[in-house]
Amino acid sequence: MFYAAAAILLLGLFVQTVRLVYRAARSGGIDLPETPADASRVGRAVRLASEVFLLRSTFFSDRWAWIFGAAFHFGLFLVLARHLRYLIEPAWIGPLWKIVVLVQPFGFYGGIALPLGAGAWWIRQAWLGDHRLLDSRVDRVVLALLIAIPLIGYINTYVRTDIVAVKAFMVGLLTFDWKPLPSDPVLLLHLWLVALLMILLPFSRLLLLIPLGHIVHLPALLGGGPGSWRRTPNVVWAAAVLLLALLGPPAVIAAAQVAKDGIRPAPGFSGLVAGHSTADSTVMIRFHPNFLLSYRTTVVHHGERTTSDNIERCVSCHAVSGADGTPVGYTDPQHFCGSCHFREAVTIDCFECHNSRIPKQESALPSATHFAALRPRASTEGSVRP
Amino acid sequence: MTETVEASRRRFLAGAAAFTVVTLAPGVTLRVAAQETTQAGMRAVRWGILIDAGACSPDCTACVDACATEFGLARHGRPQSDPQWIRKVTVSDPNTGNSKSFPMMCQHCEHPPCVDVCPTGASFKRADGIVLVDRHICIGCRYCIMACPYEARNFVHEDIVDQKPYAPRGKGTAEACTMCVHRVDEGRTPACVEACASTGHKAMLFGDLNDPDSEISKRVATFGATRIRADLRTNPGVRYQGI
Repeated sequence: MFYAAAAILLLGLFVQTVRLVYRAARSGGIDLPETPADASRVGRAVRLASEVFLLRSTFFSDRWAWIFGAAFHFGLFLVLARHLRYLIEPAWIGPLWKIVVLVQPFGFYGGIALPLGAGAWWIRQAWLGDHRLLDSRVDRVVLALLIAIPLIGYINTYVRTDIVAVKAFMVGLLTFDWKPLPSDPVLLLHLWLVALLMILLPFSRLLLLIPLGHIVHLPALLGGGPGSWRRTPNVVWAAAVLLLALLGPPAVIAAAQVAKDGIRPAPGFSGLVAGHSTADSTVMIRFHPNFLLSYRTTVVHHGERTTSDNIERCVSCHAVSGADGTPVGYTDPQHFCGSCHFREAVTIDCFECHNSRIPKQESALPSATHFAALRPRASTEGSVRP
Repeated sequence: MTETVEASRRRFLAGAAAFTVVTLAPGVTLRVAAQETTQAGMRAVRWGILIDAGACSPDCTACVDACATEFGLARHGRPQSDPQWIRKVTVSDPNTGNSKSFPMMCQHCEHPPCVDVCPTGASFKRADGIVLVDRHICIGCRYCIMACPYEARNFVHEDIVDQKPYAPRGKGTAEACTMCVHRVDEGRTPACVEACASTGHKAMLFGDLNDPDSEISKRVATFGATRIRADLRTNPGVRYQGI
């Protein structure tokens, strides 16, 4: 499904570009509307770049469209940059990975611009009756998707999707080494809607014509004015058939999987030590922030330090010693927290205050009962690490 | 009267918090069992320190050194910004020439001004009277530092590495004496009190001010104790004798 959606998006982009260039050539080329035109090559390049990256003509012709349009596109850029963390292994790009890490918080807030921009456009054409460029059925579905996908994405953050598994799946798609996708309904819906968006986008005028609308004379390009593209039955039918064929089976499979697995609740804090190794191995990956925060409240505010599941127990198993025998720090690639957080580009500030090189304390080692709980898994799978 | 009201309020709160459910995610909850009333932070205790200025030697800095060792408070040779949770203060009366030396630290007030002014709730008072900073919430605004009449709070100006596991500290947050809360919760006494006792001065006494049978309560009842800046009605948990 994802391969097909990507293929349709790329093919559609290609076809639409060819079509546009062909029409533009037939109608005498794309002229930048403002005078005086720059005579030099550099001047024209600067002008073109400012059109592409700063939406220059839109800025001077339609300030509202520019405000929301620019916000939408820069937001989209940041969001896509943020999602690189699911697609790229740090080893592939070396030091450039730091950029991916750096862009994460910007991408998080950039996502707000997507529903804002798409929503503003919809309000504008539906209620103000202005700029009815995106008024076909497909266009409206695409606008709705651009509002829904980011919002569902935010929910993903708060239901604590297992992003380690998501990254394994995505990298598997890219390297043709397929891994299972976690059966998390919110995540599945998010990805399914993205596939739908990729398939629909080539059939929508959103793909190419909006930005050009302010630069070139649209009717000349379209041949028959905005209305001529409004009803194109064959395109709608083709899209419907594609949708059914491509998106139907994965949706059924995903729904069945979710129904089978259900939503696994996080275990209580007291069952933590034994629970994360014997039961669902993704529980710790997903919910360790909640456990740590809950433990923080217990210790700092209630003064309860002697709980059987104190953090020293986590350290007693998970501290990694370096070559010199002392525990390695957070920035070391071997550090238990650091290795995973680096690979997933999730920044934490725990170690701005906490010491990341806490030595193992014999007294804090798990009791014999807990070792017994760990043993069966250790013997069958060779590792007690989740 | 106040004690009674306080006790009944605590009982009410304990009932209300009997079963807390924290929502992690839709359909996913974390159940937190009721806090036992025997827990250190929830007992009706009021931890306090009684400091006998008469027994304190002007030359001795055992308490200050013990604090620096316990919490890894490194000095950078910049007195303006170096952290100091406890300091020796010498006061003298020009009329009599009488001079007294004693340690000053966070007074762990019953009505702490630092908690009143904290905009985020990071500055808080535990149920057992110990005033702390929750650094997870602290934004480093330093209102508490300005509000404290005892100049007890510090701002962390320097990057800190190799913190003690029991005392996380980080640049950009406010901090102060914790009355060695990590030791108190384990049933031990604060590091400064322990160090003072080991020098033989025995000028510091740690105990439960709410327990009439504790040594600190008996001594306060017998000899009386001074609250510094009592006019501010902060009711400090750190009391002084002989000043």
